[in-house]
Amino acid sequence: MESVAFWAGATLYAAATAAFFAWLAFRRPALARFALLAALAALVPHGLALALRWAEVGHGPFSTRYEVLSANAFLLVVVYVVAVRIAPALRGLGALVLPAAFLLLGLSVDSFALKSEVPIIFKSYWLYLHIGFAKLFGATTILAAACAAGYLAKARERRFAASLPSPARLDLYAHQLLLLAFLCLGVMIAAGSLWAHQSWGRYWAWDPIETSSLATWIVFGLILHLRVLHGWTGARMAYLTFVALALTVVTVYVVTLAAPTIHTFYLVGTPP
Amino acid sequence: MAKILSWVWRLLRSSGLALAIVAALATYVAAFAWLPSTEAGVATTGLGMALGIDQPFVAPPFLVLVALTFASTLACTLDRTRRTLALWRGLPAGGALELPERPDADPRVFLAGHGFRGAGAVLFRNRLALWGGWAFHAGLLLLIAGVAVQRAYHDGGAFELTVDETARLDAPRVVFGRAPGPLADVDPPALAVTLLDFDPYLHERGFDRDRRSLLRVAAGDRVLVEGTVDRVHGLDAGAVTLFQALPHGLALEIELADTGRRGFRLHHDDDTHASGAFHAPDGTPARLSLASTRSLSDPLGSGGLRVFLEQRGAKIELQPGGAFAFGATSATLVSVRRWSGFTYGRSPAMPAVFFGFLFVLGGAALLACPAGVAQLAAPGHGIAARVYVSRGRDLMIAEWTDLPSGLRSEIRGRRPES
Repeated sequence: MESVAFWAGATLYAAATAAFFAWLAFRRPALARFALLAALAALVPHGLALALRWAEVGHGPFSTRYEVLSANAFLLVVVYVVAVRIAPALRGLGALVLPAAFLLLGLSVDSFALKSEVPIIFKSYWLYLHIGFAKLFGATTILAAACAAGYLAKARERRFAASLPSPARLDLYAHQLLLLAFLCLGVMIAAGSLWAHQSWGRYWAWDPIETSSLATWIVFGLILHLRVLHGWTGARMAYLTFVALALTVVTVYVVTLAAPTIHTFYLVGTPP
Repeated sequence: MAKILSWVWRLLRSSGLALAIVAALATYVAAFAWLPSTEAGVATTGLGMALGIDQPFVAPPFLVLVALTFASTLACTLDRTRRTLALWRGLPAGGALELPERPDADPRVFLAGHGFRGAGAVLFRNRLALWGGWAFHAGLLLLIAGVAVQRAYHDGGAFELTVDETARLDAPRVVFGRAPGPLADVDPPALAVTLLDFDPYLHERGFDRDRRSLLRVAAGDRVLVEGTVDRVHGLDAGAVTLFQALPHGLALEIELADTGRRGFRLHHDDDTHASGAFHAPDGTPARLSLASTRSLSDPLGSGGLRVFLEQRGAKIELQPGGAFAFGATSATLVSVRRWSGFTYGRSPAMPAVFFGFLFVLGGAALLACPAGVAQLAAPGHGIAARVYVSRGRDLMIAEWTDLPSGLRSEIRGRRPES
């Protein structure tokens, strides 16, 4: 059942991806509508697959690579759908978001059969806030970068993706999403600190991931300052949004794999 | 002197300095995220020691950067207080944009379409969110101050207990690895802790096997608390919290003729062997060891155990209940029990850190909401409204200026919400 639900979700993401690309090529609004509907529909079996795994292993999706990446993809699409609900003009960003979700599912599938237990310290409500907001942080940063990419494309060629908002509005959306990402990263850091204090009596240990997260949060603050205090907008801010995305990827994936950290595998998942 | 202070104050208020400090702090923190770290510090190389950054996050360059961040944030927050109060009262501050008067568009309706609400001449958009920047900066100040106070008063250390053993934490050589802050109490807490039970193989569905202990904590003759502690939650005993640590093993309980019963904690050498170096009461160096037929970590049991004593170049096997000479003292092996490691923490200023986190996150949440103040102008002055928006200023001007005629008539026909 879990397997069927997972593959149904993956198939619908693939269909949504294809429809978004077809919409970019042929500019038929019906294709974009179909793509969004397929993305929405995919969330049902995908969510079901995650819920079934949760019920089976007795803990949330934060152990194996399948659980981690699949949950990341799910939240990315949820954030995208919520963003489109608030700002319908963002629908076109699905051409970047849905392939990313499909790719994440593809990367996760080889550890689908792997099931494992997690350390007892994971039995904490702070954990759900810590990991949940880490995933939301990643998803909002990807969406902010997608808006920045849309901005650059539209600023160069106004006719590109006609149903995307104006460059100025995309620039504003990228800023708003970056602010949300900043908040999510802050909650992630605070929840992780409070979790550590509850379990070990210390709220900060300068673990490489903790340190890298703090550096990323400070850089996000710097980028936001450049906009608010120095009026940086447009292409400069779009490139800085890509810097923010790069730092996010480094913190979430690269440091985890490259540096000795207590977070090893819990951000990228236990490999098969 | 006044001139210098005034110059310093102006410098601290400058956004350029704020950006430079934040950039330097980010670079410093990011660089050390990549160095291998331990509790003792990083970069314990000669170069690290020479530069005084072997412990980078208590090293002078880091502390100076944090102090500068605090000073710059304080200056910014004081500046913001006046500005935010003015906005809260409905007075668009210096950076407000002016919407030129247009005969074909109603500014109230236009602003209502952008989330501004209000019945009079002053309209607000998410009025509370006007405090976002101020709350975030004030939260940063609280957090930095809270962490400084917490570090100053924090006290923590490790100790080990064998099942049924009671130890006073303030007794000599009980607590090790203690790292008190400069203003913390000189002695460890005056608590007597008893390990009543210890299960190293507790298993819960979905989670790896882990440790759990039953502790009793007393202060003088009064029992403060008795409860379980695992690696999820500590056990609060007044102002002190006890935590389950990772190390555990087997201990030999030996009856000494002079001083009574004493536990000797052994540490694993490999899967089937554990040992420890001790001194007999007369100072004779001795080594106690233990060998098992199955894994010492097997939850089903380690099988048969053999216990040995090495002293003065001789190794003998000890039998339960059998007497032997431990240095010059007569001793008897009573039993083999489990021991476990614990830590304690005493952090009276921890609420200051929590409060700092709360303010920072509250401020960040408010910052994520678009805020604004608009003052509608009387007709005939060339200005339709003065508007402050926390973001989207250029977009608002563009939309007001380039309002398509269709949309203009649509907006004219729409009633603003109040």
